[in-house]
Amino acid sequence: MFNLPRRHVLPIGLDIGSDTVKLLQCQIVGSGLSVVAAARTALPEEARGESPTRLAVAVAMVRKMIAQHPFVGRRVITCLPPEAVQIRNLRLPLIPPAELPAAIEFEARTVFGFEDSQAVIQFLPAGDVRQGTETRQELIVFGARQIETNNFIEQIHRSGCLLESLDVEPCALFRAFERFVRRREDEKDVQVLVDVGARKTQVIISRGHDLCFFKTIDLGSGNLHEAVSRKLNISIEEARALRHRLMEPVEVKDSQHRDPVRRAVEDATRSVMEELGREIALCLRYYCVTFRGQRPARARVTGAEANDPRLIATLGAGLNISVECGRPLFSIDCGMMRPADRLGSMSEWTLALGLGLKAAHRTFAPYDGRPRSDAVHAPAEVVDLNHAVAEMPAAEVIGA
Amino acid sequence: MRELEFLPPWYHVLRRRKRRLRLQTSLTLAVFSGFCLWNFQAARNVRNAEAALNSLRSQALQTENELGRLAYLEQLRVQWRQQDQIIARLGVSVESSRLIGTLESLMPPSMALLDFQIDTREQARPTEGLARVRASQADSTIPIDRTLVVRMHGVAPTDNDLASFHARLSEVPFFNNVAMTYARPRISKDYVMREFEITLSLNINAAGGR
Repeated sequence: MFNLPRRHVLPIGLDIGSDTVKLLQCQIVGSGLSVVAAARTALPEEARGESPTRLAVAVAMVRKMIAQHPFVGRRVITCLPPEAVQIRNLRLPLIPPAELPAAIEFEARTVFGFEDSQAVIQFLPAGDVRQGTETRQELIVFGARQIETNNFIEQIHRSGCLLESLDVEPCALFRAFERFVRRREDEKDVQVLVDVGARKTQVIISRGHDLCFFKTIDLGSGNLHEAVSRKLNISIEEARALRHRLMEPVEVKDSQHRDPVRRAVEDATRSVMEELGREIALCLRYYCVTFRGQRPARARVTGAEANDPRLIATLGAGLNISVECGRPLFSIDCGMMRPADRLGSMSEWTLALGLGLKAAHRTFAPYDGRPRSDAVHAPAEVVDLNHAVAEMPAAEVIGA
Repeated sequence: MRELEFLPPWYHVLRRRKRRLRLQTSLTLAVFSGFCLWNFQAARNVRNAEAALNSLRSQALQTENELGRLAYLEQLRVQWRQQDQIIARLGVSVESSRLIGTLESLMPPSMALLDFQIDTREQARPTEGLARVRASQADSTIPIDRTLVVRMHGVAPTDNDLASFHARLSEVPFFNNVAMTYARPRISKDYVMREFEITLSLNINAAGGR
């Protein structure tokens, strides 16, 4: 009788970054997504980075942001701070899925050094790995101390938010782009997601709906700003503003006559960008050698640096695959966002979107893929990605 | 992708308990508010009922006063009706001394009364036809006309005095049927006088009497 569109408002995705706090709430209308409200506020200078007051300041800001913007409800999904989560790759023999959690918990206790019932251990099956004549399953294991988790929850709860779920950054980042995996052939595609943060860069390699590889590289936009700051002898804030200004698209005529400042900035950031590209290339090499099958076809860059065409170009040259700026809010109605937040690729909203989508237990388009069957243990072997990537023979890398 | 959850179970329990506490608090407040409202309403109803009762009491008191006065008036009415009935039955009392005094004031000084007679005459009032039947059915008492008949026998020195006396009597409004029965000469000790007899009547029917 009444053909009203079904409307399901998702929880607020809360991204407490090292220098900004972002909130994004979406709703499912029919078979599509639309933004209900979005808010972004920069943290004060004294509360940025590794400052101990960062979380307290951010929580106070979240309360204000929720009050000042048209968010629906106070349900929030956020992720544990990266410093509170330890991530290890484990290789276990093939054991039944029902026995896997207990085996991982036992192994993780020795790997992470946690004592009984003091930590939350979660894992993601990365895939099967051939090791000699033996097939093992590689797992990405996440561990967080209970006391740190409880402290974080307590802080978030003080903001008046109701925690719906607590996630980790890699999963949330990947979830923002997982919704683009719609067809059966997409499930075999290997995608690379590079999230350039203020202090760290996270490299996520996924195959279809499965997250297969995750690594954190200690290079971020902060390193780029510092390089510019050193080169031009200006403050970090000035370097940030300058780089932000230079990210704006320029006309061809102007680019031909590039100004010395632009050239100086590019010279300053080139080494950092190339270093980042080399690290990502090593990650790709590890993936290609470890997980046989389809090679990565495309890399998406997210974060505030994703709008830097120079970074995209440098990474593209270093990785030998298609590198593009990630557009997490593609095909989402962003009419409710402020015009200033709708500029560019909006890739800085990736984490907040991925967190918010955790409550959407559905796909947003026709889906004909097959669900991943859980990989199906002997003593575990800890894989040190840094050593493994560095020692990987170059001959095994196709396209490198 | 396999979803990971780092939110400890106690948080959901805490939220559930807080929700339950909030619900119970809300319910308690609602019940308490309802009770207070009901109590307030009941108190207001009692106040209104008391005000209505006081009003009714004052009205009843006023009615009682009026009823007392009405009973007194009714008693008076009954008493007066009885008196009226008695008067109607007996007729209006006419004091003889006042009647004689009136006649004396009308008589010439030389006139003397030899005899004075007062009779009360009761005569059924004549009714005809249906009215008589109805009167007899409604009340057994038949209406009676009462008349006080005064007969005066006296002597006057001259006819002139007699005529003058007769004329004065006729002028009195409550004397009816003033009539001279006879007037003849009378000789007593060589004096010739006029002997006369005059009758008159007074209507002594009560105003509302029968």
